[in-house]
Amino acid sequence: MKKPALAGEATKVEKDLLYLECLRWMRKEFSDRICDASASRDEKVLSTMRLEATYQMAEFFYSLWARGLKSWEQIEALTKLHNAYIVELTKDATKMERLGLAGDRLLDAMFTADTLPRLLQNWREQPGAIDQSNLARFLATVMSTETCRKVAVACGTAGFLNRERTPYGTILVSSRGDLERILGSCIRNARARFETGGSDVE
Amino acid sequence: MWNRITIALLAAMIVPSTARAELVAQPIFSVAEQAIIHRNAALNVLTETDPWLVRRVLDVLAQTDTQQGNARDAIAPARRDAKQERPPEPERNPDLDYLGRSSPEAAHDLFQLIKRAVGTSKKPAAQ
Repeated sequence: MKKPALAGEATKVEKDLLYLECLRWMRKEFSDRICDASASRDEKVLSTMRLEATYQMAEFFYSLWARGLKSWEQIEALTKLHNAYIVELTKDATKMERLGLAGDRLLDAMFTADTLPRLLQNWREQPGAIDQSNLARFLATVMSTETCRKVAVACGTAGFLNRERTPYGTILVSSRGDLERILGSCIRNARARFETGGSDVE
Repeated sequence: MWNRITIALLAAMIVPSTARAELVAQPIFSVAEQAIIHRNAALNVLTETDPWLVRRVLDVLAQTDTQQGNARDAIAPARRDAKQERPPEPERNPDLDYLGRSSPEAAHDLFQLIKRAVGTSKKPAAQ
């Protein structure tokens, strides 16, 4: 017979495993569901949908939506925090190395007097719309500019993002809401699975 | 510095194995291909030592051309699976920088930035 302390520990480990299983299930479900929902069946598009970078982009749009970040004042606040974060990062060589970031690329990720007004103008005119290069700036620490472009193009083909070419030659990106909805449902279902001890809950 | 061995390894990862020894003549690069070579330091170095390998790298890039005529799209998933890191000196190899980075720490930081931008008093949107 197990000692109470060990039995208690075993129960905790079981819950830990269940939690881990639910996290894994959520990540798998997200890939499955966005591939199912993709308007394109092109394998190249679907393979991009399965990338970790696509999940990261979805989480970014989900976070903006779920936290209710809608006003231009809020997006401006985010840019200021982002710039401050980048500045701090450039001072921390160890962390830069850990994150696989180069100093010059980090500086490119900052919003400047040239790029910030356009971001705010776009957001004022069409809340949620971000210049693709500015989207890449926000996501610079989790994916390269090229990867961001690649994911945005694939998400556009899949029907998850609107991508409009502006008169300035830039690409304006906005989410159609599917990425947020799908990720949100996966998170909620995973949470429900955990709360019910691993049972399928839809 | 991205040395020659690393370059060869990188190329070998995406170039199908063929009997390169049979190829003896110098490859011909179009103006567009020369531009790609010129802006990627690794290809520049490799051109001097193994131009046929460069030829094959460019061919693979061209064959896997996807949306907007950019070959990097289709290569990225396989490359990411093969080696989860970025190539050295990506600023000197823009066409080869298709290895996305994925750092849990950076993702957590971004999550916190958005949380702080909105403020803790605001309630989440209804789902």
